[in-house]
Amino acid sequence: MSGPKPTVIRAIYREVKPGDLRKLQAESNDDPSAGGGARDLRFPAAGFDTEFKQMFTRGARGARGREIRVATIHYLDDLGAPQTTTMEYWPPTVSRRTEVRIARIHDSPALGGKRLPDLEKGRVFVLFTQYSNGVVRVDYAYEDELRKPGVWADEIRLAILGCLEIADEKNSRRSGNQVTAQGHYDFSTGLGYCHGQ
Amino acid sequence: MVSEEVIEPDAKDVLQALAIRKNVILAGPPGTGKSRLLNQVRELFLWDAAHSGADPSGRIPIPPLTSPLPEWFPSASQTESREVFPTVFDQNTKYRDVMRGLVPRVDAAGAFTVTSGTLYRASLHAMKPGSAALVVIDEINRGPAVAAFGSALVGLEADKRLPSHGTPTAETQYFEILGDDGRSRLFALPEDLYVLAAMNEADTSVEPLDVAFLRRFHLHRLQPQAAVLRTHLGLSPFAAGALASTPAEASDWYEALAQAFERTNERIRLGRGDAYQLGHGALMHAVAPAGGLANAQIYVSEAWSTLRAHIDEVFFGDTRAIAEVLLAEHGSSPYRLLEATFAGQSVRRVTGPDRPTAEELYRLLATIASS
Repeated sequence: MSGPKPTVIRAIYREVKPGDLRKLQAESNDDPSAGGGARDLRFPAAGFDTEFKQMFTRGARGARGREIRVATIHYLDDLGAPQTTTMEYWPPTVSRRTEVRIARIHDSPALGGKRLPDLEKGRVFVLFTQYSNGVVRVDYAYEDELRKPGVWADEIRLAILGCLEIADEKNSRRSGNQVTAQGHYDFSTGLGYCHGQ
Repeated sequence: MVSEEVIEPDAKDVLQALAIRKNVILAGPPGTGKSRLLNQVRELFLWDAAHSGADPSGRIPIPPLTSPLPEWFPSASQTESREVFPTVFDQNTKYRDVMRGLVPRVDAAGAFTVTSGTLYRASLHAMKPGSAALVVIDEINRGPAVAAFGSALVGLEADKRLPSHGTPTAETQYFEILGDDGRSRLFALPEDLYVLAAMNEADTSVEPLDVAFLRRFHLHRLQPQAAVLRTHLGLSPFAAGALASTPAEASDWYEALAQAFERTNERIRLGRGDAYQLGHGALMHAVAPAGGLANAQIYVSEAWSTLRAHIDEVFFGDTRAIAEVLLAEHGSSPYRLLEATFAGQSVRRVTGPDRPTAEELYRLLATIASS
């Protein structure tokens, strides 16, 4: 017997920058200070740690015995068929107190390999979605589709595009480090968070 | 979920008219559903796509809960922000309430400020990229509508609007308004601005609307619908059966009311015209009790009071017409036309009960229904 139809609870998004793309392709990252082989998707701990911990709820031990969290992540494969995989969430560490990360994204069938983003559809976002039935899903969301009304729900598309606009505006005044559009949205309260806003 | 399939025919007609003409007036007798239609169109115009669907195994994990706006919709491509700006006109409505004007500031003696009226605020909203605005004006002819629109009237028609891309056409009509600094500036109403108004043409306390004003609007007329009343009363919508000689069950009372309602409106149409009829909604003041003769009689008595008051109002000063509608010269009617001489002049008045007994009322309704 099937249960009640799930609703969407929360979503976390982050723009895929060229450096992230190289990580996904298992090439070196752009930031030497991040460590030579770090192929993780990094987020600021402030603003994201609490959200990710509600998606990644199972405790586990990572490399060097560190306490991490894992979750079964749903995704669509390159043929559009639903699949699942396990992904790791690394909370802040003593040496990196301000960062959290989704580890080894190049290894993940949900984001790397044949699932690499299509760069012909404008800018790309990684999107984690959590539903009321506990399912957590990861996708690439494309700017072209987000800008087209009727494809994505207005709540999430306006949240992402609004955050992108803020990042673009900041980057237009910078010559150095570029700001990444990243944030989350709580569908039960209607409250959104855009990092650095 | 909002979808094209659930739009009722009247609401679709109004939305299509808005898409083409930009400005629509709903006109009809009281109780014909103008306010209901106004609310329906207002809700549909917003086409709330803010609600999120959930599709854990679909291509888009968070799709919109609504279907896309139909292509024929007003400003179908403007989906970023659709807003409604409601207002009601009264005898005191001014141009400053609709567009702009000067009013004293309450926080600074002797100083003035420039108002931002409903149509002006809606226009500013509609000028934003991806946006559309609907101004809803109830009772448009209860205030001085022509004066209230003032200079904006020249830019109201669809071909006089400023296109969404901001470049005026040869037909775009600019007119002067006050800027925030109090100086005059030119302004044009935007393409994605719509005006939906409602009016009761036959109300005795309304302002006339001139032809130049009305021709800028599409008129969507509503008529009384006996079938709606019959359905509300639990009767078959169209098949009016023969009346029982005395009411034996609730449906006998309701059938008598429904048939008398139709015959009365026929007489009003003959005597005063379509606009003076009474709408079905006026007799749908409460849920009609399905069982119990006494409850049905109470409901019908209340409905008759409404019908009688309407007859008295539309034929005010014409006693012979009231007598005709009440069948005062018919033996079965509890009413009589009294003709006498008073102060040397011939006078007439209708006599009879203010509140007929149950027996009198049923007999009256049956008489009107069969007349």
